Amino acid sequence: MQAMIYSTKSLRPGLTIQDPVRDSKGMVLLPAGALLTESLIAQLLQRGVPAVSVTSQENEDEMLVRVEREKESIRSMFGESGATPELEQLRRLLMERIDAG
Amino acid sequence: MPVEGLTADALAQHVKSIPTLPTVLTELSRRMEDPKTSSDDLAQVILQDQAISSKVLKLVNSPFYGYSGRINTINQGIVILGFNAVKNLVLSTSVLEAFKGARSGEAFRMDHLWVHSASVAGAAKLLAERAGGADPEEAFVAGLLHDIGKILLWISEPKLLTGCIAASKTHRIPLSDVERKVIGFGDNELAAVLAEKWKFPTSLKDALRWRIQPEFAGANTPLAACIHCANILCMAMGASPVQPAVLPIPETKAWELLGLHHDDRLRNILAELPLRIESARAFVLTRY
Repeated sequence: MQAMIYSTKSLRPGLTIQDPVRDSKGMVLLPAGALLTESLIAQLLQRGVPAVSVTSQENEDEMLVRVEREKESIRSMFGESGATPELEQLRRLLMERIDAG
Repeated sequence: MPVEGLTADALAQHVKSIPTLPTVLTELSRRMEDPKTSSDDLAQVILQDQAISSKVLKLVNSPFYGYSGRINTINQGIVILGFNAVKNLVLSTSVLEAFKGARSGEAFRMDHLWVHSASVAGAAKLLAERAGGADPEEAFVAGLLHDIGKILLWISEPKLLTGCIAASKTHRIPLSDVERKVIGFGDNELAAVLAEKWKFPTSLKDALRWRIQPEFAGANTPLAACIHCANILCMAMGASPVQPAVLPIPETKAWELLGLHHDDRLRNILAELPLRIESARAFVLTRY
């Protein structure tokens, strides 16, 4: 499942937490899979959590469009292959992340 | 052809409006060199500047440090977070304040620069934590300040910087290469001149000066490598509103020094970066 990073201020009810939300000491505040409510969002804001990872809401068509757009951006920045081994490695792993969703 | 007779030092000398940093910073640096200095002594120095001390107190209580609302005095902040963490806060707050009046233009936006700088700060801190060799707090500050040379260039020679940015996009050459070809030096060298003028610690000066070629930073190569690689990673991930026409080429030694040549290390860092960047932006941009 594609994860999107949202700043806490832009969260809305109905989104699902993708990765556990932890405080600065590592304690889990919200587990993966938690469904956000107004109350939970307010608590996150109060605790000063700056951003969370939520499950993407896009349908399959939207996902395909986004994936192609991201890949095109990578191709444009890197060329079809990286100019150096480091750039090629970075390009490859970024493409891998996009494909993994 | 480089602009004849223009060096980073000469340009900095001619800029009439280089902001000065609060004297509290110089005094803080001086006191920290004395091993007998106590947290009380340092707190008294910081308290001489009301504006800086109230900002620092607000920042040490931010969620970024995990002590929200529990640090009531500067002295307490120094005891809990340490001398260097508080000094870095004073330093970065001072620089952001110093450049507060700089105006944006079509080719160069200050808000975009600070978003990018905050992103690099978060990424650099993560790299320092994972790789070791550099202090993560110092990496954060160095990342935040890595583009101050660009700001100085924008203030003093906006048409020159605008031209370099346009040439970089048109010819798909990294901006730092265009600056060296056209002006004769890169904005990283200007950053080093500023760092010298503002009496930054040597480690920070070296990181800013050598962020393009970290292997020349001597003992501070790990810190310079963190900034170098963080900058590239932020741009590559599209995390920066300042998107280059072409990515700068990572220096092999810096890449390997941070262990990024191992797929697993790089993969894990790429996975963690988005959240770290967002957190850094939230921390930095509340005070911009």
